This record gives sequence, C-alpha cells and structure tokens, in this order.
Amino acid sequence: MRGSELKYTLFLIKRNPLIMVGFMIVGTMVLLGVLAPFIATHDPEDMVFSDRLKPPSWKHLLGTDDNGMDIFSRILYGIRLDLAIALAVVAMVSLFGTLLGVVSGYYGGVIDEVIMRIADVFLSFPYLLLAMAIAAALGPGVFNSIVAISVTWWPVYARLARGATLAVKEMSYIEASRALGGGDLHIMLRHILPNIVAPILVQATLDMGNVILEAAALSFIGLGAQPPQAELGLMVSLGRGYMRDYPWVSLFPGLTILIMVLGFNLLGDGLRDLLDPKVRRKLL
Amino acid sequence: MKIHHYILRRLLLLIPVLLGTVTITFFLIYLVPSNPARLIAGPRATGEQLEKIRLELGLDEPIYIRYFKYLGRLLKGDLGRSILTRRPVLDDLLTFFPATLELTLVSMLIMVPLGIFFGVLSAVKRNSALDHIIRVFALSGVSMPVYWFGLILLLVFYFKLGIFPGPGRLDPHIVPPPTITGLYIIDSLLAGRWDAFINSIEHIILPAVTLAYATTGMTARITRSSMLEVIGAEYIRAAKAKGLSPREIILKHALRNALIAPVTFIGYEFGYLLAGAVLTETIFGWPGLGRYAVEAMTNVDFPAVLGVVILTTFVYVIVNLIVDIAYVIIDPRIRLGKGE
Repeated sequence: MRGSELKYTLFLIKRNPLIMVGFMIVGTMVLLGVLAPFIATHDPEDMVFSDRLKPPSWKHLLGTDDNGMDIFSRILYGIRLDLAIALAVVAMVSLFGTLLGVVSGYYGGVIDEVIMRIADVFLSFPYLLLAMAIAAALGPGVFNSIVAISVTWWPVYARLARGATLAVKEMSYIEASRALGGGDLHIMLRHILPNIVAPILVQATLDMGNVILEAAALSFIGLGAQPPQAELGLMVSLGRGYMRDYPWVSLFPGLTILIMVLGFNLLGDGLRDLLDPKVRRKLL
Repeated sequence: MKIHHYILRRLLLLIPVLLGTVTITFFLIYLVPSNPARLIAGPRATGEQLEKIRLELGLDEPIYIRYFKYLGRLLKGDLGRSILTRRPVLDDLLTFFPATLELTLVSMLIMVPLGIFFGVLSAVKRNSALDHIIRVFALSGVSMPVYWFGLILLLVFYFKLGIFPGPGRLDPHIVPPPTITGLYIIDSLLAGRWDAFINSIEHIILPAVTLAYATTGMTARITRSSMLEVIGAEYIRAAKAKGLSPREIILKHALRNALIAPVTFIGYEFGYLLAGAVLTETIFGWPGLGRYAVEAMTNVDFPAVLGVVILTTFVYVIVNLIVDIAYVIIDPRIRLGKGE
C-alpha cells in the first residue's frame, strides 16, 4: 500500500463510526486482558465459601459465584484466556491454511486437487459439531480445544490463499522474478505471500470473534476449560442453575463474550468494506 | 447441460463427499485419543473393565480393518451400538431427530420472513438510523453466545414474567400426541389434540427465537446487499421512468430478483441452525439430537458421536444440494456451464 493510499484508508477509518467503535472495544478488551493481574481485585480461583452468591457490591464489583469466587476478577482473567485461545487458533490456522493454499494455487494440478478436495470435505461439515467431536475424542482441556478448533478451521484460509495466489501468480513481476532465476520457494515466500496478506488479515480479524465464540461454546458444554479455571463460556455454564435467583453469575460473563465478539465483528466487517474496491468507492 | 443431467451429476458427486465425511470423522475420532478405552472407562476402571470396552469397540483390531468394517455396516444402515444407551445408534438418532427438525423448521419460519423484511427495510432506507440499527442487530446476532441469549430469554419470559413455559417440549401433565411424524405440532393437529397443539407451540417459541436470532441477522445483511445491487439496475430505473410508485417497484420488480441471494444462503444457514441446536437444546432441555450429541460427547460415547456427526452432515449436504437445484430452477440466468 502506497503512502497516499494508507493515508486515505486511515481517513476512511476515521470517518466510519462502526469501525471506530469496534476498534475501541477490541483495544479495551486487549488492555483488560493484558493488565488482568493488575486490575483484578481478587485471585480468580480463590474460593471463599462465606461469600457465596453475593450480589454486586463495592467488595465484589460484579458479585460472586456459587463457590464464592469474585466474578469481576474472573471475567478479567476470562478475557485474557479467551483472547489467548483465539490468538493461538487464528495464528495456527492462518499460517498453516495459507501455506497450503499458496502451494495449492502455485503448483496447481494434482497437489491442488488433493488439498482442495480435502478442504471441501471439511467445509461440508457443520464446523462447530466437528470441533466438538474432536474435542470429545481428545478429552477436555484448553489446549485440546485449541487443537480441535484449528483442525476444523484451516480450510477457510487454504481457499482464500489459493484464490489470491491464482490472481497474483500471472502478474509480470512473478515472471520477472522467475526470469532472474528465482526458485519456487523464493517466489512463494517473497513475492506471492506479501501480496495476499491483506485479505488474510481481514479474515483473521473476523475469525478472532468467531473463534472466541466457539472456544466459549466448547467450554460451555464441558469440552473446553475445566472448573475452577476462569473462562467466560464455562462461567456462563456454571451459573446456569442459579439463573432464577442469582442471575449475575451467568449474566456478566456472557455479556462480556457478546461485547468482545461484537467488537471484533464490527472491526472485521468495516475492514472488509474498506479493502473491497467496489465498496470503497461508495464510501466516499 | 440439461437440468436432469445436472441433478444426476450432483447426486453422483454426493458419493465422494459423504465418503470423505465418514472417513475424516472416523479417523479423527478413533486415531486422536491415545487410549479410547481408558477415556471411556474413566481413571478408576479396572483392567478387566478396560478389556471389555476394548472388545466391545473392536479396539483389538487395527484401525483400517475397523474402518472397512464400519463402512460395510454403514451401507446396511448399521451405525453400531451406543455405549451410553445400549441401543443401536440409528434407533437413537431416529428417536431424537424429529425434535431437532421441528425446532429447526420453526426457527426457519421465524428467520426467513423477518430477515428478508429487515433486509429490504435497511436497503430502502439505506444509511438511515434504521439501517444502522438493523446492522448492529445483525452483527450482535452473529456475536451472541446462543446459550447465553437462551438463558436471558428464560430469565425474562419464564422466571420473571411467566409468559412462556419452561424447558421441555410439553408441560409434564400433557400427554404427547401419538407419533406420526415425530413433530409434536403436526402430530397433535393430526390427532385433533388442541391442548397439546397450543402447549407445544408455547414451548417451542423461546428456543426457536434463540436459535433464529443469528441467522435472521445474516439473512437481513444478505438481502440488504442483494437489494442494493438490484435497485441500481437498469430495469429499476426504467420502472421509475414509467412512473410506477416506489412501493410497486420494490415489491414487484426489485424484491423478486433480490431474493435469489438469501434463498441460496438458506442452505448454509441450515447448517448453522443444526450446530446451534446443540447449544440451544442444552439450555431448553429440548430432547433432540443436540442434547443427545452433548451427552454422547461428554461421556465419550464414540459410536454415538460418530453417528450424530455423520447424520448431521448428511442432512446438511442434502439440504444444500436441494437448495442448489432449486437455485438453478428459479434463476434461468444461471448457466449450467461446462465443467460446473
């Protein structure tokens, strides 16, 4: 992206209130997650049974759960954990999927067929269900849920990267590089990859929200994080039985998931519009 | 290419997709754990119990043999026996599937008209406050933890206001209608059981709304962008030039063409609903496939898990096939080109 392009994009971002809101939400969440140990008022796994199911007060800002654990502090650590899970998954699938997609698009032929048909089969599953099945087979736990989600998620990136590679492959600078004696690996890493990064980054931003939702869902049904870990989906699940009389136990963790995921979706949605030349013109 | 050639081709293509699905799920589920028998039996099981489970699952044989045996039985409609319920998995699936089907269908009845209505509204009033509100509604739908939304609805409409009944498909004192389709709403109508009919509708509203929220938003967004594209087209300008009222233009000319996009998307959304049903059913005590799946997964009931994933994927793939075929029939512009 040239300097003037970049400036123009920044200008468009500033003019778009929804992107700005998304950006602020994501920024706040990242800050809260990173600074969790300093902001938290209590140890997130400290059970004080004399303080069970207390409503929000100055001592416990968002109340306590049925084990007397401080919900405010647990939410902070929950944000931290869920962001970390999402980051791990997105980093893994975008790297792995993109590499497969670039190889697939660059070489074409049999390699392309094999990779893309496997990707197709993965995409024909309802992905949450497959992730749940894999998580069940692996056994519950945070690490296993990261693996389970990643296994189902890479095809999205493989397809995206393959399409982008096909578009870039025929450019004259690729031909120039080959004429200068550039090998396949050199061309893929130095010339193709940098030119397909933008759509992949947008997809990654959009996926952060989706992965958080899925990781929380896995924990909610008991296949992800385990008690007394501070994970947002698990916290909603633990408060389920207390919904009638102590709604805050489930209410605040779920609301946090909603706000955090909404932030990523606002940001990703806006970024996608900005990078789409067709929409970009209309934004003026 | 003729339409029946296209359909035949698509049906033949189903075979590798379904085979791929079964293969991938089978190997992922049975290869991943280092010791499935231990996982099922739990940490305190004796060696004897472990051995029994190993034999029951056929774990003493190499995996590829088990895979081919599984495929062979699958062709005969045998999905194995559930470890948890001790019944054939297929019988279990057939028992639980109608409840999920009913829930999914009612969700679609809510989602399709509402989503299209919101989509048209936000396209017509583009960039107005209303458009922004609908956009935020749509985005919050896909950002919502479904199970949490269900809990909130239960809290407000069941615990606090008492407008809707709580979990389950019927109140405990109401006898279920005789099974014909397995869908309580239809069965009770067929049997002339008005009490069960009204009660089953009351019970399905909260879970169906919970499940429909996300996809309603998606439908609205897709309808909006496809409407915007159509509104800019030449023939709409021609209709304006003829002096037709905006209402007539939108309803008679634009909407009909703009609807193609959301209709084809319904197949994708159906998959979303099937997966969402797992979480929704957990919250609302809905005795469907989703709850069966969660039970199976948390108890490492491998044959049942495999059965649920295979059945759901089959349904999903077939619904998408039907949508694709409908798409070709509805829209004559789609060229059944070479290679496609």
